[in-house]
Amino acid sequence: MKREEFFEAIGGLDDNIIAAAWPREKRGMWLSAGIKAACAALVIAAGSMLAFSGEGTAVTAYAHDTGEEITSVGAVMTGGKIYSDGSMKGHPLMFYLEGENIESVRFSCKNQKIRFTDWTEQREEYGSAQNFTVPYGENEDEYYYLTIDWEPNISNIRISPVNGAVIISPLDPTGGEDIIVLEITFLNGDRAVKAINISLLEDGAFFASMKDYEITEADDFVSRPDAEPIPRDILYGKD
Amino acid sequence: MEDSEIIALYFKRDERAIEETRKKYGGYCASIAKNILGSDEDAEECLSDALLSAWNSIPPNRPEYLSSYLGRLARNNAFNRYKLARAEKRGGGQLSLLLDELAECISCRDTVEGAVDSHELSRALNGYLSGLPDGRRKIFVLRYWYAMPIAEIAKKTGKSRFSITKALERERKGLKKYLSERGFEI
Repeated sequence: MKREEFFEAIGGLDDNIIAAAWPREKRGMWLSAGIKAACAALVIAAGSMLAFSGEGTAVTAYAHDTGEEITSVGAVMTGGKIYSDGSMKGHPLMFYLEGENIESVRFSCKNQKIRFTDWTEQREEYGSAQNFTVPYGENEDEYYYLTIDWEPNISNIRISPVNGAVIISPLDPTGGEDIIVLEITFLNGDRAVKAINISLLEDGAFFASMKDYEITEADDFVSRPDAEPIPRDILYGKD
Repeated sequence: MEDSEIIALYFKRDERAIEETRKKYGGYCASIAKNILGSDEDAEECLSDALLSAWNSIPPNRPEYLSSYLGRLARNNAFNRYKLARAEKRGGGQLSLLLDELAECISCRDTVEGAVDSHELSRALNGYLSGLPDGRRKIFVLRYWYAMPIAEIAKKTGKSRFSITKALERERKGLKKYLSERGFEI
């Protein structure tokens, strides 16, 4: 198909989708005070129902490149891998969260580093760090644009030729296994803890899964203080 | 004037329909045309052609969303002009840029075996966009239906150009995967 044909096919979008996308001037100045008060009361009542119902506290993680869910069963991540020449290409684990009513998530990475990027450019960022807290907020549309990129240090990787093949393995356990703990706080005050486990496979790919998690005394990496935010003009230079 | 009243004028064959349509939607249609063609003069000609097309098609059509109906007439008209003029000149409007972006979603092969039904593709596109959150859908439609420049999308959505660019990049990847999973070999 030619790209012009694709553009024409986009012309066939439903009218309501087209109409809804066009920016409108803000309306509502004509609403009476009574109607405004009624609307406010409805919003407060709906919010209270959510707070007491306990609904909307599920959180799932999705790989950035493929959109695949990172499940409790786990899967090989295809966004990046280590190659037989020792180089790493792509992002082995870059993910975003989906859920409802997330107030904040505190990320703690045990062995390697993680990088938070807010594509909406509204939140503080930390560069490559191991512990930080990200405010998510009420606007669930924005969650998709909040990405976490796991950045392994591959300097302690061993490349071993075996029977004509190449085996990739870590020189020590910290190079081959890692865990990212997510301490999730919801807008209604509920809390949940999940962890993403990552392991290096012999072919240089990475396997990841996400499960509910219970922090124990052995998890001293979770107790590390949060990193300091880094201003955007230092992280990215001027736009 | 409400859309229903404007449509009623069309059905009565009252030429005030054209005047009222131009008053209410002239700027809207012209901006779509200018996004594609890049020239005020071409956009104005497109608007006139779109109004004529509306007059000739209402009735029997009775659009539920008059804005989208007119916008589509302007878009199609502008795109046809773009295709005719393409051999003579490039640049100007946004279309060349966004066609380059859309190329990421397709293979650019054009064989009889690989022909894709445009209506089926439109249906699939509607399915994909319907499943997106409002904000993401809006950015996609503003860029690829309205052919709006990225800087303007950024201004209207309150986001930076950088974040709009990255968001569109991700949506194109998502769309390509969605279409591929549904058997669209494009």
